[in-house]
Amino acid sequence: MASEKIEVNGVEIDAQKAQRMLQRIIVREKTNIKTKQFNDTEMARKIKKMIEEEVQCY
Amino acid sequence: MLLKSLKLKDFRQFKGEQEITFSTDPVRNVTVILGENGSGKTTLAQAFTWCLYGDTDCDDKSMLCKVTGQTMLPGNEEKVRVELALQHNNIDYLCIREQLYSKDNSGSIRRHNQTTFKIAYKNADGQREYVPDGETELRMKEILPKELSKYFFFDGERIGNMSKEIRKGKSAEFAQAVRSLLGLSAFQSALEHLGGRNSVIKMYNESYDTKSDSKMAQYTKEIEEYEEKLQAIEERLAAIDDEEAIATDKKAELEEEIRLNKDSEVLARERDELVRKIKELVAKKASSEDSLLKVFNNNAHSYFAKKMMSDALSQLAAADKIDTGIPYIHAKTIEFLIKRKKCICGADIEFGNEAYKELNDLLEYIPPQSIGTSIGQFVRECELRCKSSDTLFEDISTKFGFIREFDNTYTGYQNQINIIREKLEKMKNVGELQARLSTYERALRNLSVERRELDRNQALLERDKERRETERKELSLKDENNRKIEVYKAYAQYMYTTLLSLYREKENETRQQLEQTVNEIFKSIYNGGFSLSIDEKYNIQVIVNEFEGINEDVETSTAQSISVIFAFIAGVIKMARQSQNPENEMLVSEPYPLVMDAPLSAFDKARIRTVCDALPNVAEQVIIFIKDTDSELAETYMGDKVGSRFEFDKKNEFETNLVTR
Repeated sequence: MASEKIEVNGVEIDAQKAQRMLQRIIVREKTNIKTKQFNDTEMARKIKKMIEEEVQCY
Repeated sequence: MLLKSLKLKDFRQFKGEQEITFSTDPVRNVTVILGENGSGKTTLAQAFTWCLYGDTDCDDKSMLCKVTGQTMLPGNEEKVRVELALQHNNIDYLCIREQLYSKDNSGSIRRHNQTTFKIAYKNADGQREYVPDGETELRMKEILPKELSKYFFFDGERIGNMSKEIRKGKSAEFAQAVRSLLGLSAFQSALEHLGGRNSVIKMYNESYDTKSDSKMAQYTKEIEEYEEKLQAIEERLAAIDDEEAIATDKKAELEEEIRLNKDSEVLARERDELVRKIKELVAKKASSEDSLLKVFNNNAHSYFAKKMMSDALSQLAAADKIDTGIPYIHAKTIEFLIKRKKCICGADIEFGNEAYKELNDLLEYIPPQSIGTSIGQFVRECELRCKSSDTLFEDISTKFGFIREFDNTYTGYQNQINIIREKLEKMKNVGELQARLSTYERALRNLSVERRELDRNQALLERDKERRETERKELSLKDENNRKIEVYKAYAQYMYTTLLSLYREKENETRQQLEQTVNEIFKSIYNGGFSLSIDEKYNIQVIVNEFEGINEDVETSTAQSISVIFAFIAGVIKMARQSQNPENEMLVSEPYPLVMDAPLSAFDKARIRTVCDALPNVAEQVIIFIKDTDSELAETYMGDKVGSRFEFDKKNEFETNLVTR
């Protein structure tokens, strides 16, 4: 799948990758709303980790 | 959320332990509870809210069954308990509320301070666990927020207030709760985690490596300061929004009160005039009494003696011969003649002779002991007294007439004052209202000034912050670690911005869809040329379709109001159900039951049919309390959807049993 580059705050990012991450975040949020497994800080840390892993893979 | 069962112990008229199991069948999803007036329908509906939130609309706040209370011995304790078993997000919960009562030695029942509330649930291993005490309220809020509960535990007999509430002034909390029900909570959580207070973006902002460049540290510190200031401004602006909303509502309320109470000023003036008249009247009465007594004291004896005086004068007139004295002859003259022994006529006066005797007899009639003189004086005195008492009767009549009239006039004035006072007691002091209105108007002006100032500061701070961020970004790109952070942050920022715009779009779309759904349901129930509109705070307005130019909210009848509420609830529930479908993968929601107390009472036959048709289709589960008079229609139109039937067996005013039909 061809990546779509866009610039955010002067930094180039892959919009498709960001969209995919967004979908995963929503799914994770949906699950967490039901299970209450993680609190707000834990969820923010998980999203941060997800971003770093995804971006590094690139 | 699906309700499974409700277990009561000594709750109001439900003596001992009684349990009702609700139908959770997806097709026959209706539970009907039938009861005559006063048998306990509303009480049972109140048991839900008491269990979940600890309050009821009952005037009598004692939940203990009166019969149980009566049979308690002094020193004994009894617990009222309601257990509601429900399923939410595929988790089985048991909500338990208890209240302890004890009887003292004097036989009085005492309610102990607080109710206890526990939520038990089955964990993944099927084991029962309890939500920690400090978190029960929060968990309850997630299961069903109290703000929304009344729309699910729906009381048809108290529809008036709900109708007003839903149409204006809903809180931000209500809008938030509706958004959550409509399945937008995953969006909200993701936005909070990406860009909120303890968010990813904030974490990145705090993780720049500042050792490489001293300016980096300085810019980061400045940006944090700008953020703090901007945060404070945002919080204050939100608070101003709330304060303005409150002040605007209060202002409108007071203006309306002033309009309704403007007559109080006129009434107060009338009352003051009457009080002045009463004072005058009392003073006049006192002076009349004084004057009456004076006239009476001075002339009453003459008046009452008038008859005697008149008789005496008549008799004296008839007896003028009594006065046989010689005018101008004094007793001393006679004594001189006797002593001289020679009368004026020349006759000798000797002791015992005829002349002597004649002169001595004469002494009886001449002054100082002349009766004629005394009579003359008496006659003059009588004439004077009679004359002076001539006007006494008229004088006293006039004054007494006024005194007697005083009581009537005084009572009349006093009655008028009392009537005005009663009216004024119900009314409010316009001056005081005006003063309060001025306070709110002043507050609104001040808030507006403050808002303008904050807006200006916010724009300046944002400009400064952006400038610093650009400068920091330029610096960060020179350092490998910071460059990475900049890239991660850019992703987080992009996702936050995308999600925010998606959320706004979705929220708007969901609200429009809700409006459409609510209107469809409303039209199916109430086909009367009205439509409903929903604003961004989820307030509902009723709009007349047929009259061009009238697009203001209009007053509605009871049937219209109940239709509006019903349409709104049914609409939210229907949407919540739809958002569970797989195509709505971005939304997360939960089905909700409808618990309705006497919802059919306000409708005619045709509308009962449409409501009965709509109910089981719209909601996942329907629990309906109905009067015996509505039962036949409900059975006819909804019978094939009913999964459980119960009825109240009312033993007496204080005892009702729940029995299966």
